Amino acid sequence: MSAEVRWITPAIHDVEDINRLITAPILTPRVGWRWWTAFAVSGSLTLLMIASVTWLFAHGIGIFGNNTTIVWGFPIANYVWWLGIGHAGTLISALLLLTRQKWRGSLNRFAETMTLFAASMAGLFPIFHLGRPYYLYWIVPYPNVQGLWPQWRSALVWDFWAVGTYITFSALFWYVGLVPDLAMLRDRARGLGARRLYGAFALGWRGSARHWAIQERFYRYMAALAVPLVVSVHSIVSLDFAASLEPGWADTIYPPYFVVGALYSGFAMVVVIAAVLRWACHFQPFITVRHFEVIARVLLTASVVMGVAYASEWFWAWYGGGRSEQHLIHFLFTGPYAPLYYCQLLFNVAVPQLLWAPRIRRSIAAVTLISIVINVGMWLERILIVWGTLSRDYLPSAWRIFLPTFWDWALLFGSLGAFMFLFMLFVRILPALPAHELRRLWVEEEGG
Amino acid sequence: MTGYFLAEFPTARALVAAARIARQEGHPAVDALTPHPVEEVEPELTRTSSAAPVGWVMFIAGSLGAILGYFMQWFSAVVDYPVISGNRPLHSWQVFLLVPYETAILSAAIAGVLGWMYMCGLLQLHHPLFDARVTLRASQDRYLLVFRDAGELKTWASQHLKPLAVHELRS
Repeated sequence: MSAEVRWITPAIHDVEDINRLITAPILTPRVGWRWWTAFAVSGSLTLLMIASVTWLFAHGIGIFGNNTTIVWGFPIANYVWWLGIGHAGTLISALLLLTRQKWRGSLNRFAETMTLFAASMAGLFPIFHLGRPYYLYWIVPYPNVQGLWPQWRSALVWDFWAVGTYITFSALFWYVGLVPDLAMLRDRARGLGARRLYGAFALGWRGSARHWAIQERFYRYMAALAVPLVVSVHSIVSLDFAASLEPGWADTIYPPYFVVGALYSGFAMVVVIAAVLRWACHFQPFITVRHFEVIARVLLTASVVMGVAYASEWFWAWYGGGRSEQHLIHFLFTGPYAPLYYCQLLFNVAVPQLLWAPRIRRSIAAVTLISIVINVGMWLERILIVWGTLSRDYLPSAWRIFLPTFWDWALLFGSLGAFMFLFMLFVRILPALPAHELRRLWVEEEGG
Repeated sequence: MTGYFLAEFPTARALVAAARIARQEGHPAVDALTPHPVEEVEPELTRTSSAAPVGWVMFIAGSLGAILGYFMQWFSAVVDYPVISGNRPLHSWQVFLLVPYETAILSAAIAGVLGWMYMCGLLQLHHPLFDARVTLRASQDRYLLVFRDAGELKTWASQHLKPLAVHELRS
């Protein structure tokens, strides 16, 4: 094959090179200052999160900026944002598998891991937002002496099933793809403890022809289930808003708008993680400029869709003639949140248009920077969906604005730190790239 | 698993070529151990995976999951704990479709993982094939064919299949 269509650079000379590079962060006992620095920073932020949650459970949600009007505030916006980030992993893995995109091999493992960690962070926020978090289990249909059942017409109950299914499914999908790599670690690890631990989780995988054939088929079926699942999860999350009667929320565009937004922020996060891993774990032969270029195209497409979605909100507010809808749009453009709203439009729609230029798409630094901007922009979008509508709904006497407190920020940055902390542990314990898929890709590209 | 031996190859291509020769010569390999899927080798082996109906397991479990999810909502909302909320019908089938959608996918996935483990014979952490040290390379960079040793087959294999080496299983 010509060098044009290669996804693994010629720096890789044989299959063993792939194994060595991928297992190096795991089986090398000493790690550099970079890992320790990131570990210390993320660990401290995780402690901040633990402190915030402790304070929250001790004092209740009054420690947040939530008030009688903006009852959702940061926690629900953070929930939607984190869950959105948690969508790209399974999508990259499943949709790109079904469409036979070879570049998925370099990204799918850490993208799926990102999904698991981000969805776990997302799942925590609605719990933090409960007035009585210890009654969380009331949402589960379980036999109880009072003879109570969950209210199936409630969007919160749908969320429980969607997010619960999504986290469980993502963990299974991730694990099934991981087993052959655990077998590699079992066979490469030096210490007896490590061999036993990896061996137990490798389930006795031998890589026999029968194993591979069943694995391949099963993995494809899982991918075929994953795609409709991903679409359903953020659609259901959007129903938290769309199933209400609030101005700006009760829109039929919400489910697709949320799904595209989720993929958009998820892909942006994949770029950031890919850039960091590439640099920190020396994965340059596997994560190439071409990977960034194709993701940049996905980001560009999504940014245009987001632009159309925003414009359709304005159009329907005007064309629909609803006074509260029109007032809401006016409020977003001119009210106290206007700077945030302009930033949202700038970050999510305007800045990503730079990716039309091939030179920028092929610059890893530029694509990464734009991705960080997109992630901030998508967070602002989620915040404004919550703040905007709740600040200006039908009852003028209840109009208020949201002012975040220290604890709002502490929990947001704490959750970012915890996400990063989990990732720091992940790269030292499990292979961040799927070795068996890259071996196959390399053999196909080499014709060996 | 005495009575078996392993022929070791450096590449997937060499493995497939050898497996083809072995089958054409009437001594097909029992199994192949490879560090990544090599689809071309399966038709040359005596054991195939075509009898593993993992898709059906998932389909049946998914359907049952959907039915159970729907029944749970109908039973609780209509029979066991009827609450009129916003004057909506007790049997609000439109929104009752959301939970079965999720339970279908969840049950299909869980059943699929169990089926995959069972059909691959996973959870059996040790296998006699691991008695050969070279099996540890099969998860990394070596391609192995497993043969049942009958008569002079080992000598034949090392002469005709041109493996890197032939490994006997320690009993």
